[in-house]
Amino acid sequence: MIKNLTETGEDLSLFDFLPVGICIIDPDYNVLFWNRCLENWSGLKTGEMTGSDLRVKCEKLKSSHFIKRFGLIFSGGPPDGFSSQLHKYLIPSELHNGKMRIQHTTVIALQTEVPGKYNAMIICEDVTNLTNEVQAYRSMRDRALMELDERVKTENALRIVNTKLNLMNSITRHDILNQLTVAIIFRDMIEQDNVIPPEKKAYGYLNKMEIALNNIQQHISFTKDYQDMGIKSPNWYDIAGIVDKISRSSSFSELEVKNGLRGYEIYADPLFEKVIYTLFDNAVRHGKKVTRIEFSAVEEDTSISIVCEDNGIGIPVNDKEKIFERGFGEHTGLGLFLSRDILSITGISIKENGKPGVGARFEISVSKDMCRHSEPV
Amino acid sequence: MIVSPEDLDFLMELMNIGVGKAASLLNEITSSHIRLSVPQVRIVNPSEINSLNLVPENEICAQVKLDFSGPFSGTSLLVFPAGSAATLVMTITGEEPGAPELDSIRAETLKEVGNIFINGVMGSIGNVLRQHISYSLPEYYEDRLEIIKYFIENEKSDGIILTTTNFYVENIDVRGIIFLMLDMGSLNLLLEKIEQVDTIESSGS
Repeated sequence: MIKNLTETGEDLSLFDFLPVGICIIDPDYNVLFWNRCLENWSGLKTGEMTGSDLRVKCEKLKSSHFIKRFGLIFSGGPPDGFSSQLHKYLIPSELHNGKMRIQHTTVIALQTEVPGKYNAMIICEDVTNLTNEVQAYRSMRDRALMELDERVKTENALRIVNTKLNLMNSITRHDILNQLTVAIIFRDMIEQDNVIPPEKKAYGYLNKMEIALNNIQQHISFTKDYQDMGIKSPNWYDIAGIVDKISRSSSFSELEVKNGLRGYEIYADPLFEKVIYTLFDNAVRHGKKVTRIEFSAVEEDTSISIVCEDNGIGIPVNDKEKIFERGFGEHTGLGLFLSRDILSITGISIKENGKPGVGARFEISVSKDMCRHSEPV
Repeated sequence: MIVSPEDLDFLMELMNIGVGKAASLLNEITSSHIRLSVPQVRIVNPSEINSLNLVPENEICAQVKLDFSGPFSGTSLLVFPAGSAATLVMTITGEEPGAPELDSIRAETLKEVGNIFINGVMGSIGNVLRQHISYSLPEYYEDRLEIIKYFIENEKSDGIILTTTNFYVENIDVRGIIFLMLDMGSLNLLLEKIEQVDTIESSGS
């Protein structure tokens, strides 16, 4: 170990090559060694510092708590650490930008040749960059947390507004449907009372009135379906289970259904079941001669395609995109339009790519993080 | 290991002096007034330590460790629950309120706080022993208290002086636990020295 420093000072030259400031003082705070790093940091030369009282240049060392802690070191006590948060600049040292160098300091006792006499070795690490980085990180984290908090508040406010709007929509829809029922009843009564003979022009107006009233009814139903979309959080759904459930309903009991989706789960809006129902309904309603529906999965690199094929008349080439537009088709024209919107909530897409005359083929494309196997396939 | 009530009283006084010195030092360097409860001291067998439920299982703790060797050897460890340790550091440094996270800068500060406590306690013991003790550099860990099992199993300790004290800083209350794990023979040496002091004091009076 290092002993009798004044005589063997040259042995300490190794410390000149270290990237930390090192200084050795005796119990009277006289500097015995001052390394090159400290020279560079403080601008105080070794010759100038050696033999001088360190407290003259580092006034903080005069305070009582430093005296007590250094006192313990000079009596051979345990090493002591001075953190950069509580003692930023123990040995004053200016950086090129005029700011002070932030230091973390460790002080250890060095036994001398005189029994019971100890010197103190002061080791200063430059933690300026580390401190700046931690502070930048803290401020970034605090800003992120604040923004997150704001976002949560905004989401809560939006949820309340949405609930109120939904309530208002439901009440308004209910009132309109009541009045619509009254209008339909009166129209039917006019027709049943034969007040307007069928050959009269006004009878034609009655028919147009019926069509208009039915359209209003469908539009109102659409607002209900659309309102429900995205209200509840998406979740994982067992696709095969949904296909089984729908295929058992009386409307589709005569169809032969092949379900090749065992084990697949999809992350989708709770209205996902309505999408599968629409595919069944469209097959029966528009496929004309459909007797069989087949569901299967095709795995690709980053996605999985859920495929629904039937043996109906198929979709004409020109209509393959139009069927997803609102109002297209012979029925309400809402099913596939809504289906595409429901799927899009969790980033899922749907297209039709079957061969006209052979059958319809709907392909639902899901990225692999939105579709998983609930059991080995 | 049987420890007489008189020895335990003296040991408690030693710890009290050490912790008291540490508190006074902390008050000088921080912007907050720190109060400490009277330390509770007991000597426990290494095999008992797991059954003491000192902190909830799996709770991460901030730990400052210092080894000492010589005629009196072992390991001293100061333990704080990590979450409240960060709040303690933020309060004593007067930091703006933010997330109580123990980043590397706060960990260094906590190490200094731990160092002050351990040094206070070791200083008190050193005064009684009047023998030279060598020390390692303090180390900082964040881990479950389970790590103590490792020290105990590997260091063949013959007794642990367990000191618990509560830090009250402004409106926060943080419990700190000091473990003084003594190697074979060290506890006996300390108790012998304590008895010598007792004898001198008794004959003096």
